[in-house]
Amino acid sequence: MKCLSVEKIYLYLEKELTSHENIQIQKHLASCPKCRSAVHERMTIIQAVSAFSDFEVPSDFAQKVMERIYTKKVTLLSWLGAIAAGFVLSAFTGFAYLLLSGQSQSQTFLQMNSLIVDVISTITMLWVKLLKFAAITSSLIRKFFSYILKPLTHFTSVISPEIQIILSTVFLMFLILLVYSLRKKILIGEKT
Amino acid sequence: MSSKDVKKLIKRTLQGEKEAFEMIVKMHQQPLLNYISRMIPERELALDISQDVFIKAYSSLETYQTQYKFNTWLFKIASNALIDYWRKKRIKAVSYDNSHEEDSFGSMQIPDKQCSVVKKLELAELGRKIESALEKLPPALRELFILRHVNQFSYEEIAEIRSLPIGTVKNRVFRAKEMIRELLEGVT
Repeated sequence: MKCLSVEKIYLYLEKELTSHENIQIQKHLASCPKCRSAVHERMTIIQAVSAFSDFEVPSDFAQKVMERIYTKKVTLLSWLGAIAAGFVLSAFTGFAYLLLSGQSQSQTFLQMNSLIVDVISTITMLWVKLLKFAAITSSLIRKFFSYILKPLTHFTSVISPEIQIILSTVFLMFLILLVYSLRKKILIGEKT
Repeated sequence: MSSKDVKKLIKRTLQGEKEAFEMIVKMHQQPLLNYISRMIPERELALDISQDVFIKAYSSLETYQTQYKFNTWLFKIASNALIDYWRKKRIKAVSYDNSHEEDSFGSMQIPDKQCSVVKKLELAELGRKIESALEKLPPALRELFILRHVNQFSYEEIAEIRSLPIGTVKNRVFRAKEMIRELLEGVT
């Protein structure tokens, strides 16, 4: 048997060979000091790697991870809780003020009622304004697209359907090529 | 703890049991940090990225398919996090110039005059030298070497983590080891 290749040595050390190959290598190693030394050297390097010291993990590492997860999850809930608490507190303060200012209970309830109605009407008005704003924005977008599409419609009415199909196919192919080349540019990593 | 226990912990986490995920973190923090810290030497940054990996694992735990090994899935997230980090830093580190792979590495023969590295260095000292030699390796080779010899993943698992063919993984790990050996020869 001729001397071992580097790959063979690693395959032998990692027990990736058949038992027949292993026996052949062992026989060769018994008679070849050069290969024996090469195997021993590589084996020692691998042994030294498996004896690497562990990274020192901070004792509060897992706790910090959980805090970050918990904070993330709680954010939405805490917002809702804060709004609800604020609403209850202001209602309670208003009610207490009205009672302490010497007004009768029926008057207090009436004023509280009008206060709540005021709040609800203000919120409703705000929603109506928001909806109006959304409607205006969507009509603007529609107009913008109609300006773009108008010349295209005119163009398609002038040329024949066959040419339209050819042009659409060319455009589609161009688009696919563009996406493909961009993908190659953007992706960093191994090609599998 | 067996993979069956990990799957039970995952199930409990998905049912909303916070402590179950904390146990998963504690089980995997050491191997994950051994890997990330050797890819990113800045300690604080390595810790931050490792935290991000666990958070990402938590938020996508529902997509984890139990027929796969959890640590392979976790390390795949970690490997992608490293790619993102390098991408942000604009370091061309993940891809490896595979033109070297066409070299006849498999048939490379042992040079006649072997420099006896082992004789000159004690094992502990050797470990330290290998650590510093590792830093000089191209990150793509370093990563595969760490996954194989520090984290003790099988070649099949590494191929799954890095989405590479097994042959490529093996070849690159062998190449990494030879580069380390050559670097050690240079320091002795």
